[in-house]
Amino acid sequence: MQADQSRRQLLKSGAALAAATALPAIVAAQGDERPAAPPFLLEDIQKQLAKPLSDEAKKLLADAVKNSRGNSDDRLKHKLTENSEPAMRFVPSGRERTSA
Amino acid sequence: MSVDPFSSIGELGAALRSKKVSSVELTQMYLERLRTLGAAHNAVAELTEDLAMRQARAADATSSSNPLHGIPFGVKDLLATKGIPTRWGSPGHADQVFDYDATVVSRLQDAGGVLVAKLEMIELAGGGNYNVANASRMGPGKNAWDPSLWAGGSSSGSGISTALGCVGYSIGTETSGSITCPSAFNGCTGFRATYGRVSRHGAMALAWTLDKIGPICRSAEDCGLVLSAIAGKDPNDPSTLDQKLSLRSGKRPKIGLLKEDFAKNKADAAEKSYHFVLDTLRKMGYETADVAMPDLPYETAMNIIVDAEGASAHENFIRSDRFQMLQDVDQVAGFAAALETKAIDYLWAMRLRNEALQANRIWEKCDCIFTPVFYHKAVPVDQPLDKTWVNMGGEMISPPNLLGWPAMAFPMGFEDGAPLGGQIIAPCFEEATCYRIVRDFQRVTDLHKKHPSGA
Repeated sequence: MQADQSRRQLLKSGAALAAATALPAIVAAQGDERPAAPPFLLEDIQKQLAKPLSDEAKKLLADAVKNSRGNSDDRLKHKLTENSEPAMRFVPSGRERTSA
Repeated sequence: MSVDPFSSIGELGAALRSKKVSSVELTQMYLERLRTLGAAHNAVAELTEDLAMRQARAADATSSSNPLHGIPFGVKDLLATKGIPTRWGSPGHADQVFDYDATVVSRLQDAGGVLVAKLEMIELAGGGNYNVANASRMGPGKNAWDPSLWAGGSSSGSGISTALGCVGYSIGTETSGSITCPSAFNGCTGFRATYGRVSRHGAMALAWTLDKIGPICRSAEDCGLVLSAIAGKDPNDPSTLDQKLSLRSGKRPKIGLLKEDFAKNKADAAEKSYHFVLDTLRKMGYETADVAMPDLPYETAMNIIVDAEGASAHENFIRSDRFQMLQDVDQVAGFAAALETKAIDYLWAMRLRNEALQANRIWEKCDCIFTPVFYHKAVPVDQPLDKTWVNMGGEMISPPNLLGWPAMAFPMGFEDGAPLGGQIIAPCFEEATCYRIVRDFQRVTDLHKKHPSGA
């Protein structure tokens, strides 16, 4: 994989390691045709934080939101079976149980 | 006292039972190695010397047939330990102390284990998409074999300290690769059990539907001993499985082989190592079959789930004035961006996980998969990872984690003197298959017994 490939490009190539935790973010977005994150969204996120972001963090936030929106776009390319259920289940509890 | 710090758990136990060494002496030896070697590689979050010496004296005063009795161990600093700081690798959590032990810690202590250290990790297990090895409170995890290389993450300290002989064994955790990656990069054997096999009570949550805990050791047999001690139902973690762990397997498993891209990734050393493992196993009678995973957007689903669950798990922190104390500004950006993850995206990802069950059809042709963890040795420790993470492969990190499949990573060779790791991946609940194959391989080879020079 090329270091300057975007996460989306990496996903397309099937060589992505974009998942968090074990593996580093492959977040470089140079040359990516994906639309930039809308300014109002970046402002909305920053309003939720206790302190203003540094200039570097603001730039990286724009990249991160762009990548995140890319996941939203990419997932639309895979149509799920109609009416399928998510892999989660609410477990009903009787009246005696009052906490998790 | 003369005990090899790289001894297996079985050897350490035999030395203790024969009184060749005491638990106090073993504990002192490992504490000293953690202070020097471990600290020099940024592997240590907190030494637990007072507790360890108390536990070692107690172990020496009693006898037990438990194989972990009196053996010093370390745990990733993601696991709660009563009265001892648990910082999750994060400068923003430097003063965090819990008043209880994680179930895994309790179980190991109940087995007579001696907790010598909390081991360093990537801050918040890397959930914000880190881009530097320095995304860690104690500094970048330096590879046990070559400190100019990265130790991998997020269970960095667990991989380093096990490989350097600073502990008898260690505990790591994995959401998506955090046991297998540091095991591969440091030449350890790491065991990611089936999702739900080990209680996560007292463990930092990154992604509730993905997080798993497992041992990082110096052999498959050691991993089996530790996993047997920590596995099992826990009323404090409703996700734990009812089924009991068994590491006994029946007929010899058939090994599935994926199409590997060694040439495309310029991975000559990995290709040679891969074939060495395969040749060895075939000589032992193991059969193989070519297999393929269904083509599904596993990574997209993984990204969305970790974003959504991670942002929720850490929302209070993200909105706090301590948030920007995180070491890596990419983590700040990533966690902040994740606040905007859409519910409909998350539910798509969770529906995809059910659809991905079709991947279980692979087990009609084989009983497990053998594949490299990565195609290359660890990347440099001092450069941004998006510049160095090239031709690494790693396609079999996300799919098995989404599906909850167990895997055992193990040393399969070297590239320019640094370890390369392979992994055996099995269906859910079939840890015995991973265990058997790696144990058999290690019985006739010595890669797992090689240690960093000077350690």
